[in-house]
Amino acid sequence: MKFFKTGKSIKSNRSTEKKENKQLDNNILWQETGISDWESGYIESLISQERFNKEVLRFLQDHQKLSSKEMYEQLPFGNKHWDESPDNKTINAMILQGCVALKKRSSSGMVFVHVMKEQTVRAISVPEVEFSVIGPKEAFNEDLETNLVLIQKRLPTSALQIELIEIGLRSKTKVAVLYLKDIANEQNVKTLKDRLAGIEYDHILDSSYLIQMIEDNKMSIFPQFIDTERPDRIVASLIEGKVAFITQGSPHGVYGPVSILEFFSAFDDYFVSWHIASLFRLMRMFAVFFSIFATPLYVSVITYHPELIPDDLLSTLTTSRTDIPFPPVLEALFLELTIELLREAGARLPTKVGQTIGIVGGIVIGTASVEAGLTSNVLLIIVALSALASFTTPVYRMSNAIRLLRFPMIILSGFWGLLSLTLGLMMIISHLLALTSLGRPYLAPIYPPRLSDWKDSFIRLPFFMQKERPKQLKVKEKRKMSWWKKRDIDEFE
Amino acid sequence: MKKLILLFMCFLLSGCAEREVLDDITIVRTLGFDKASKDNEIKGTINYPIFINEQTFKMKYLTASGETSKEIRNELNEMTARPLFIGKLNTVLFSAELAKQGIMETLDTLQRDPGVGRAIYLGITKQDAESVLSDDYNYTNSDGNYFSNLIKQNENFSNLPYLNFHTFLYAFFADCMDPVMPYLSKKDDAVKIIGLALFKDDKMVGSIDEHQILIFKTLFQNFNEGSFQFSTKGYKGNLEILKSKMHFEIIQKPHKKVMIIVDVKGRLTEYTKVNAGDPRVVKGIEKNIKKELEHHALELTRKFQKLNIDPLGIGEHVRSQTKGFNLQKYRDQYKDMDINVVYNLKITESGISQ
Repeated sequence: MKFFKTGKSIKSNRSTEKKENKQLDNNILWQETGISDWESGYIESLISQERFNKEVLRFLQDHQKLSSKEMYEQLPFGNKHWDESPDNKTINAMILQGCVALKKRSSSGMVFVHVMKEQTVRAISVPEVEFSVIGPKEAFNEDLETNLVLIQKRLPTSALQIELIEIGLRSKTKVAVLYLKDIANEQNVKTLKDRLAGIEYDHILDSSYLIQMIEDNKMSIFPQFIDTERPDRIVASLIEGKVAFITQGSPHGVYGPVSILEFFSAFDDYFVSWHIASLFRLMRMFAVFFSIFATPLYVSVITYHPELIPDDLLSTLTTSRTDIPFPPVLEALFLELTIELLREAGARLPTKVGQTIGIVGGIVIGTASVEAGLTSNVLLIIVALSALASFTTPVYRMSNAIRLLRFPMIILSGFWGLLSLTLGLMMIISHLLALTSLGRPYLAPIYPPRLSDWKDSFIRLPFFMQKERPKQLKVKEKRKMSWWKKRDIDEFE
Repeated sequence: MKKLILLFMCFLLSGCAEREVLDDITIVRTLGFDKASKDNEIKGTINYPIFINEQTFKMKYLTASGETSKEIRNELNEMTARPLFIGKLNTVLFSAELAKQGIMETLDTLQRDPGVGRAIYLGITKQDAESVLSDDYNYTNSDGNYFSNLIKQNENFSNLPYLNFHTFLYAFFADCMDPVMPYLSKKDDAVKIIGLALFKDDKMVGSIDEHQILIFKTLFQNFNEGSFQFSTKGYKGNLEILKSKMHFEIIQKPHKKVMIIVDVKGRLTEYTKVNAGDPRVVKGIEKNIKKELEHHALELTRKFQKLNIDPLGIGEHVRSQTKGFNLQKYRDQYKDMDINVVYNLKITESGISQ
């Protein structure tokens, strides 16, 4: 592939590089090939010995008379490189990429041939986090090349730009930035590339490192990029005019700029009919509000505003509260912590044991704490429901944020009831209003109001109504289709 | 940093918040006021649930007397294990005896309390409020909602006009309007609405009986459900009202002659001795009912004029339609004003059988 050819576009921190690479790496094996006066240098574990022997050495054997430059020109390899007078740094870099360096003792020129060992990578598997019943079931794996192929085969267009950046002073992780040249807003692309290029950190082991490093507001608990394991979701975002990046070694592609509503749209929403998709989306949004506010609302009403309880619920709530020794705040925090503990225990343990923990914890602890008179059964229902509701958010990062948000809200409502709950809500809203993703407003179709973008936000309207890309992305090509005229089936020739 | 410290100091204020945890309060559901044996004193009765265990609870009542409602509250507080909480109040009852002396002194504290809803119900009881409240009517009132549900149900599906604390206060503070309240009476194992209590300012001056409640409602507001019992010489029966709409016209200014026009749509649900399937017969019935309605309505308005009260709010209508309205002059003339009532009755159906 084209971008593996040179090390020149690679950005890295030069000062440390200099110190490190005054001499050639110790791992590099320099030896005579035994064919005229050719020398070869490579790292054994990186290159494919078989290809080196069969292809490179045999070719040298057959063309012993050629000079270095001629040899470079005639070697039947696509991925080769010629350097007239290479310094140690270049040699190191090329060899570390999996090249074999070939040099005639008599000349200074060097030929680099890429014969890297075929890596064994995990097979492309079914998406586990974003599984969908209908639709493609391919997920990214840890290999950058494979991931790029998954995207390229879905987007066979020359407009697709793949730019490679190397991040990480030591890990030298390859990151591919992807966008569609004729659609994506240049500002967005530039912002993302600049931010990625500006990263100085030892090691980048996963795309989530990068997400946290390039977020607009690093103090915010709301994620400002979406990471997905679905190549189709990345492709859809590229076509909308967003910018994506994929990190070597990470099974998650990341894209932005995003607005908050996108976190609540699962990708299957586009696979099922729009009625159902809209219903599910509204349900998810309701679940978010329920999950954040149900327990705090219970706490504040029970503690400070009993007059708000409807007549019919009064006796139910009061009877469930009698004999509970704790104030409602502590009771709620206790139960919420229990649920979080169960979730955490389930996540840490191997899958099969995890399930048992969920059942045992949920049923036994819940029932027992009610029977022991430590918690009221109404609150138990509310807490369990709101925990359940928080898991409906399709993007894991967001559902974590929502679960975390509950705690300050509960504590606040324990302080001043509805008054502080409202204050908390105001703080969340003003924070969301100030938040940006790649410099674009986070609360976008809601504020600033872009009514035409609402077609794919709280609800998803049918495809023929979505003729334009989201306005807030400021894309170059606004229309998704050149024209649309409804034709009956008998009108086709 | 300074901001952060300030923010955290705010949390110290949470100590000032008044906690009313649901299970640590005495939830008063009904209040009743009577005249006490001593002069100048009133007797207050509260009705609240006590929770026995996780499933069962029952209503308990307490009585105390004092000169002001605050005093009563303090007295009652000295008897309860948990502080009194009147935010979930749903009904306030006054005995007729007390109401005749004036109730605003008692209602005033409730009116000022933001915790007390304006949608609670008020009522006058023929007997002592205490005796009405102390009974649980064979478990009917075991949840403390009996009186409020009774009034609410009758307002929504029957003849009682929509009345609550808010309408009372509105009528009380309006220049040309007087309040009314449901008039309740204890009968064996139940409480019955026996009419409407009429007020002059905050003093009860009379009442109308249960047959006139519907007529009052038609003159008082628009509504969609009610039933009218009619009986003339030839037949008697029941008219179920499907829609009643009133409007108000001033015929002769200033305040000499007014007319209330009520459009009623109804359905015959019960009739004796006639064939109600015949359109001509129905027309006849229509005419008779109309006459009867108008007769009753005139009786009512005359009664109001005689008592010099205006529960229908005629004065408010007149004021809103008169330029340069003179309150004093209007009040002087009210007794002699000519109030006409016209019913436009339409019987839309008479059942499915021929």
